[in-house]
Amino acid sequence: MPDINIFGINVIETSFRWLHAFMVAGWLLFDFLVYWLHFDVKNPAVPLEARLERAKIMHGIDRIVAYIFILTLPVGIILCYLTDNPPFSSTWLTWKHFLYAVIVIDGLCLIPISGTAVRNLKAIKAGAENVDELNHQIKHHMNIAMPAVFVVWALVIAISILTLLNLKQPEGQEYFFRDVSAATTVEQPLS
Amino acid sequence: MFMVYLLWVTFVAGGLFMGIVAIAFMQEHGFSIAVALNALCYLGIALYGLPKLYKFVFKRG
Repeated sequence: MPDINIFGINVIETSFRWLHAFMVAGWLLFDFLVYWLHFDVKNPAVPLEARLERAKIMHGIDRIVAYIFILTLPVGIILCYLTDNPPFSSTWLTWKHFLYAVIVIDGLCLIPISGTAVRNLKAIKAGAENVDELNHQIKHHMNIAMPAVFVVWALVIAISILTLLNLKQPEGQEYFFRDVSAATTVEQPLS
Repeated sequence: MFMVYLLWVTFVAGGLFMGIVAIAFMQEHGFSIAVALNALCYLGIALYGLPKLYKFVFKRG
């Protein structure tokens, strides 16, 4: 891939770095919004119209989270090669990829129960007779999703810390937070 | 529906890629528990997603 440098900055590599960082930040932010909205959606005491409206907003935000979740993997793989760090070339990167795999598995467990709230609330609005059962299902599905959601947050935060501690700056690809000078210094011969 | 396709295409392709790269890495550099866990997880994701992707592509409707 050709290097496009502007003022000494590799545009493609830097863009992917920022994209990757913003994706993770957006992931956490939007996921927290979904979490915040879910309290009213599962509460039968809140008026139905308000619950349905919030459920639709929650579903919309959740789609953004899903896109970010899906695209983090290809963007991460591209970034690996752009920064000359193939996927398993360093220990921290290998563990980072493993943690992401755990997030994917966790996310796959959540897929079957997504969309229950909007579906059930629409059914209640349409005049379904089993309102209590539908409300119970919404609450039950949201409650069983919570541990998986907390695991995702914890792992995303762990991955972010792991990455920050091993981050390299583009020029020269030197570590930000690691002093490698002691390991690489070669003694100069006395003149 | 686009998102469902994107999800399974990405996870099947990404899972296979990461799994195969992990196995190739171990063949070259020897066994490592961290890399082996990666291979197991990513190939598992790809294998789990493969029938779902097949269903969406060939058995829709």
